[in-house]
This record gives sequence, C-alpha cells and structure tokens, in this order.
Amino acid sequence: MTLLAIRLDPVLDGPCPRVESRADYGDVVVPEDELAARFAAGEEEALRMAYDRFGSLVYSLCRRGVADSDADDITQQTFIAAWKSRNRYDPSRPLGAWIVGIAKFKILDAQRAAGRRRDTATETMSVVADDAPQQQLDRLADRMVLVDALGSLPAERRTVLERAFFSDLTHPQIAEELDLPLGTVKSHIRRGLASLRDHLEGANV
Amino acid sequence: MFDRDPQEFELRLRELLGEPEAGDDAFLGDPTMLRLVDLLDDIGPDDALESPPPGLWDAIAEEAGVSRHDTSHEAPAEREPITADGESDATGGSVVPLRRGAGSAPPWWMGAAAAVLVVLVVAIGALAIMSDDDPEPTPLASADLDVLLASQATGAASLVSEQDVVVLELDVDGLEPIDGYYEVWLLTPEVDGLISLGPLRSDGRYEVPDGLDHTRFSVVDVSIEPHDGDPNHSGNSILRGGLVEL
Repeated sequence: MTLLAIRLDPVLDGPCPRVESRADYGDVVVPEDELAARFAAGEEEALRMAYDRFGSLVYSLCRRGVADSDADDITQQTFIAAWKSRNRYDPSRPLGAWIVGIAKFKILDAQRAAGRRRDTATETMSVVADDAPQQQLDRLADRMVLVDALGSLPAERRTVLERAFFSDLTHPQIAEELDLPLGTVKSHIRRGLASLRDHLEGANV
Repeated sequence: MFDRDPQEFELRLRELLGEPEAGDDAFLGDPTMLRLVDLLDDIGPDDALESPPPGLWDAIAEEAGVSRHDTSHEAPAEREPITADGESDATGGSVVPLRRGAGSAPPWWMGAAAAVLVVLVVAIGALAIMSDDDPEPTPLASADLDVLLASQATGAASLVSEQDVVVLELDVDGLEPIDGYYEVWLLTPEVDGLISLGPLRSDGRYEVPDGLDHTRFSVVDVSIEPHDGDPNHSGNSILRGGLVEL
C-alpha cells in the first residue's frame, strides 16, 4: 500500500540541513552597498550579516583550497581579518570581493605553510618561485564567485541562463519550455551575462 | 589568462546570445565576458556552495568580540523551499498539493519534470508535490542560497507500507557521476531533524526505521557527500521534495 508519494525537485537554493548557523533576516532586505557601509562603520550586526551573505562562498572556497581539516579555521581567520582591518576597507568597493580577496590570501598562506612542512619532511628545498598555485586559486575563486553570483540573480533570469548554458537550448526552445516571450529570454540572457560579468570584474579589481 | 583559444569562447558567446542584436559587439569584444564564458564552462554540480558548519559563527563571534546571538537565530528559515504545510491533515484520497509559497513555481521544472509527474500520477493514481525552489525574489534572500548548477537530475519517491516495514521507493534520474557519493535522507520540513537512509542504491528501496513518524520526517532529500567519513549531512543537497499524504 502506498502511503505517500512525491516528486523530487532539483535543489537550486534554500536551506540545507547544516545551515543553522545562518541567520535569516526575514523580510528585512539589506542591500549590499548598505551592508558594505555598515561593515566599514564597524556595526557588529554587519559582521553577522556579512557572514550570512558570504560565509558559504568563503567556506566553499576554503574547502577547495586547503585541507578539509583547515577549512573551518581559514574561514574563521578570513572573517576575523576582514573585521579587524575594516578601517582599510573602502565601502565603495564590493564587500564580497574584498572578503574573498582576504580568503585567497589566507588560503595561499596555508598552502605555502603546508608546502614548507612537506619540504622539511622530505629534506628538499623549494627554490623555484611557483605562481601556478596563485593562478589556480584565482580561477577557483572566480568560479565560486560566479556560482554565488548566479544564486543571487532573480530566479527567472537564473533559470533562463542555466537553460541556455548548461542545457544548450536555443532561445526559442527556452521560450517554449519556460512559457516566456522570446524577447524576455533574450533580455534575461544579456542582462544575466552582464550581471555575472560585473561580479567577475568586481572580484578582480 | 585562458586555458583555451579565446576564439572558442567568442563562438560560445555568440551561441549564447543567439540572433545578433544591436550592442552585442560590446559583449563579444569584452575580455572579461569571454573569461566569464570560459569559467561558466567549468562549473559543475561539484561547485555547489557549501554551508559552513554550525559552530563556526559562534567561534568567529567570540574571537571578534561581537554578540553571538541575534533575533534572526530564532526566526525560522523564511525561504524554506519545502512548504509542506498544515494541509497534510486533509483526509486521504484527495489530492493535497504542497503550498507553493508567495509566487508561482518557476515553470521550467514543470516542463522538465512533466513526464516524471505524469508517470507518477498514472502509477499511483494521485499526485502531489511541489517544492518551490525560489519563492523569495528579494536580493538578500537569494544571496546566501545554496546553488546547485547544471543539474539535470529529477526524481520521484513514494513511501510504501509492506507487511511489517515501511519502504521509501526512490527513483532518480540524471544524477551525474561525482567525486563522492549520493546519500538519501528524510528531513523535517523545518530541517531541524534528519535521518540518513544510507547511500543511494541502485534498487531504489530504502527501509524506513521502524516506528519513524513519517509525517514529521516528511521531506526526502538527496545529498552529495564527500568520502570524508563524516556521517553528517554535507549541506550539499541536489534533490528534495516533501511527502504528501495520499
């Protein structure tokens, strides 16, 4: 006897089981420029909001950049460093990009420390300056910034963009599937790309 | 800067833009835009953002010397996508859809999953699901979302009572090979309780622990788990849906 039945939908967003550390500000929407200003001004609540907004991005980056056991620590170091040096933060620049920049610095540091430990262990010397880790990390961070940016697009725009990019559908196919006018699809794709581009540029100023 | 030939990305970008429009040259001549296309090509399911572990904020707050607590802690998640609401006490037999939240569900999955849904309806003679994957269009609300990209996965599940056991029958499709494994869970709608039903199985059958209140653990969740020996949920879900009484 069937008791219950469901269909499962792809989880495009929404809280996952381990999100209890996240706050939800309900209907209170704090635009990013306001958050940036409040963070720079040293409002304690702004640290919490910055963590809520960028914690997943930083943590996900750390998980990929350092050993799993260090990811928590590097995430913590990142937010502490951002908070302590907030008077050096220019709130006219994107707060997320600034925090991600600190995270990249901390990750590289941790990678170098781990490399030194390895070198000592094997009694070898690293004499060649290697900028490959920096480039790899830059690329990784850009990718995570884009994943985050995609998540912040309006739902319909994000869906159109994902259909175009990941499903390789043509504009008319997307329009039909989503029951949208063709012009709307075209506009979502152009505006969505432009928005992602701005995030990417903001992360690399 | 590029791993591959920039011309490749220009072609890809032209494909994305479709029929040329005035102003497209600004896109095509922009190195950042081409890099964007390059990076987007690399994004896959493994790139879904992960939530930091629960205790991390407390540690940061303590070290920073700021208050750990704020009212938002007590607030239930506003964007809870699984809106199995109180209607589940409706009497059996009738169709009890889940509430869709403020807006209508994005229509894309209706198309993508229509076949699944039809099969489900025909197969069991009653239907019912719906989870809203983005009921809140506000910028902050969408900001700290866990995004799972490029997933073509679909799934359907039913809870079946067989003699002495209750079995969750789960049928998934389109899950990509990953570095790790998929795990099946039952959650409470508030995500304040979860029970693992184990790694994804090819036979799709999961015996539910004896006596478990399936009206409380009414949400089926499939997650991506790393091989790290950590028995906790990774926070990285790929499919989810709320069970509805038939």
